[in-house]
Amino acid sequence: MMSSPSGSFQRLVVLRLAVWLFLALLSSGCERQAAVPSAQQAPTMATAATANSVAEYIADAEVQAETDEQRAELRKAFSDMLVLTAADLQTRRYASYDGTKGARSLVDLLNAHLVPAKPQVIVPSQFFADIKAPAAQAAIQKKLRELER
Amino acid sequence: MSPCIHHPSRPSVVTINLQHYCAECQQGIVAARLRVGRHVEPKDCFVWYAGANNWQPIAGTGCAHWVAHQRGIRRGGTAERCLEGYTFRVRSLIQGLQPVELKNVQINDIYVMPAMDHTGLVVRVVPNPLPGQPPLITIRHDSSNQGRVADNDFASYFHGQGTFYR
Repeated sequence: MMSSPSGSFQRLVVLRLAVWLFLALLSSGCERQAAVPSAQQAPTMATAATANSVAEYIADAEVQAETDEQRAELRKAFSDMLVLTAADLQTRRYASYDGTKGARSLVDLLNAHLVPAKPQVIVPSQFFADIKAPAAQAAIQKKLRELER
Repeated sequence: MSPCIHHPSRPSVVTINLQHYCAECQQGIVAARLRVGRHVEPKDCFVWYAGANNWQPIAGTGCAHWVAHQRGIRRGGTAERCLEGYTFRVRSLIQGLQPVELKNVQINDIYVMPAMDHTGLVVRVVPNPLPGQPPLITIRHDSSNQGRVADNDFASYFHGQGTFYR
């Protein structure tokens, strides 16, 4: 049986509509997938959002100090980090390697005596913004206990 | 031309310890070297890449780094070694070494303070004139306290405390 020309035209229109609809749905699905992070991406983003620069620097850092005076200054700094405000810590000064009082900032002192587990640098603005967070305080307490042994 | 180790899209202009670095890294290395502590020796390699085009002096006093250069110790991963590939952590420095009894200490043994936070090298051992007493030992170390590589007596400067490793 042969179909009429108008019937063929209708089938062609319906087919085109179906293809268009399929492509539109496919495109919409892709966009949605791109907007929502995949399960693999999610942990990386969460880690970046919750990372604490103080804890990251201090945890597993090796302490290097030559004299009892240097060790005492380091213990004092760690005690200060537990009790002083971030604003006070930013202005606090500590003795130099040779004991000259008030020669170094907290960041300089830590950089001079703590070798972090991986290459990194203390960014003061981030460091002082993070210092009162629970993760930072826990890392400071742990390191202070090590220093007091 | 080999690519830069930190910026693979950039060509390298300098090779240090078999690693290739681009012009930006080279500038960062040169600038960081100028900020290395005055007591640290050697200075040129005591820098590390902290990420994001940021080269800095390596943290810490540099005591283990000096000993590692003297003894040619390159233990540890890339995060534990200087630009020239020498160890800069005390614990990595003595990894795999054995403690030596005080009476058996020799030149070139590695000295480590009790807290394992400072290290030096034995450069002189003299028998003690007093019978039954330990030998008189001189330690050479990169001393942050004295601002230079210094020779000091084990008995007085280091209070006769610490461990020797070979």
